[in-house]
Amino acid sequence: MGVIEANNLTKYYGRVRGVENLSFSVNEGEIFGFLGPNGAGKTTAIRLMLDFIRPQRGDIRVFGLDAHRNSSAIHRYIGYVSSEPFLYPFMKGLALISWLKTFRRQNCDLPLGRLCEILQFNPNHFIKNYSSGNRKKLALIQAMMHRPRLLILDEPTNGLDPIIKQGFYAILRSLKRSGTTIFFSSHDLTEVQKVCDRVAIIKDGRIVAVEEVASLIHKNNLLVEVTFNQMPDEMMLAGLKVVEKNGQTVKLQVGRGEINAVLTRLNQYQITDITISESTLEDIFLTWYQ
Amino acid sequence: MNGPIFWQTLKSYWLTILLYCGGLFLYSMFLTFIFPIARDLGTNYTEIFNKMPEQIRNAMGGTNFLTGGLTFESFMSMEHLRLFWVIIVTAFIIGFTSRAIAGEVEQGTIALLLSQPVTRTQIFFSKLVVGIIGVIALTVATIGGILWQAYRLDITVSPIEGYFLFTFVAILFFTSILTLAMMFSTMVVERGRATLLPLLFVITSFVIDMFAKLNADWEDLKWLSIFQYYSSPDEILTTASIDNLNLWVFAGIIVVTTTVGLVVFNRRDISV
Repeated sequence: MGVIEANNLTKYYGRVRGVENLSFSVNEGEIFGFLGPNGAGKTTAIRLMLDFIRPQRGDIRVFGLDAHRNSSAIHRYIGYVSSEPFLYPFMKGLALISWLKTFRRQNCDLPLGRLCEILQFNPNHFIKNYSSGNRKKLALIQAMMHRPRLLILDEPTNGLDPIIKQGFYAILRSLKRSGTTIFFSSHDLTEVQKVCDRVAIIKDGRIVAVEEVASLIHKNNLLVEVTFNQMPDEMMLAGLKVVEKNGQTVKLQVGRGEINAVLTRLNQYQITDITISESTLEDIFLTWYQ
Repeated sequence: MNGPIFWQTLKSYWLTILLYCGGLFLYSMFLTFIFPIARDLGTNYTEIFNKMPEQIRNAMGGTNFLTGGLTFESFMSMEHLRLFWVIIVTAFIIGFTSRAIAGEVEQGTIALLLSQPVTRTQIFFSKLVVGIIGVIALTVATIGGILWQAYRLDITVSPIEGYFLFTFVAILFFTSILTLAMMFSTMVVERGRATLLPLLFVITSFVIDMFAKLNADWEDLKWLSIFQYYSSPDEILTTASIDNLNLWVFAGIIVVTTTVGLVVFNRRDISV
């Protein structure tokens, strides 16, 4: 049984679709990416998971427990960061952290000093004086400090600079090693590719693909970038999937089974350069949305 | 109830409660200080009230002195406890409740609370209890200010039982308004609306009470007003008695509005 099991979740806000027949499962100890553009239903799925809202149909179970009936018990083992963390502006960062610690009886064993150091965060200021990046860091610290069994992250790196992001990824890897399951909702595809084990792509409130990141990339097309000495006629490229043309350079999308045939065709021309690469998660994602 | 939420709410309100208590204590002392002056004015003082429209006199309460002579209790009732004090404490209550739930939703901070290991019922009660503590503190500070100054100025007051009973009735009355305002706070997503709805209720209730006293044909309307059950403070203070029905009505309002508020808060979607 997965740590999160969503079955046919449907949620409409009045007439506006949130999610529809959404089903997915997150395994213990994995980092599960949840990909989709704005409005696809990512945040709705998270709200349902956390029992902020209730589905019209379907159900969602976390740790095998109903997310609605057992929300308080489930939340004991959850850390959550919303895409825009709203915190009490007149509290100091440290006061907020100390207060939130009192909600959980277990020790908050991730050393606060270490988290603050990695994320370069000073908790001794009033929250109202923090930049959005610092507020995000505070939200991340409060979500991770008790080493949750399940960490739910909604666009967790919005507002963080690239150096802090690297530190944050290191913390995530450390949490994963210690058995934490991480639900990682994002539209930053490079980040998801870098961090996640499996990924679900959500489109119009429905899951359109769930796959391991490596296998998703491997199963998809290769990208062949060829620079010709002299550009061949259009006719010669007929039947090939041209992604981009730039001067003497052509980018082709090639199915894995077709690579030999394509290379044979290209061999008829004078080539000055050729690179063959895997499609990125971004390429794959875009094919779902084009 | 949840300890961390209770203590945090108390921590963010203790100064407000203290300021209200201090203000009410001093204001009550001041009005008590005025009483001997009003008493010495004799008929000149009562003339002021005789010239007022009847409904205004009734609204202010404690006008029994027009027939029965000016007592300390009738003076305090009319000048303070019947109307102005109610306005001040109601302002505190509505300010508190509008932030308690609707304010958290509007600000988005409710997401932080809901993602902790607490139930919505615990959140509701943790906040409500702080509101009740505020109501008790404000009431005790007011009555304390009155009695302390009366003692200092050697003013004769009715037996202390009347003051105990009035304190109890006032706490019930204000707790009814508090639970009602909490109920509204669970229903809306904006602090402004959570302020407006209970305010409308209290004003409407007061207007109904006044209309009921204007004309004998409208007298039965009084049962619709919460002020009817608050009764006349000077009567409670002097007689140390109140119709049990009044207490049951307050208890009923508290139970019903708390239950409705809880059900609404537990069932509603909170999209933050």
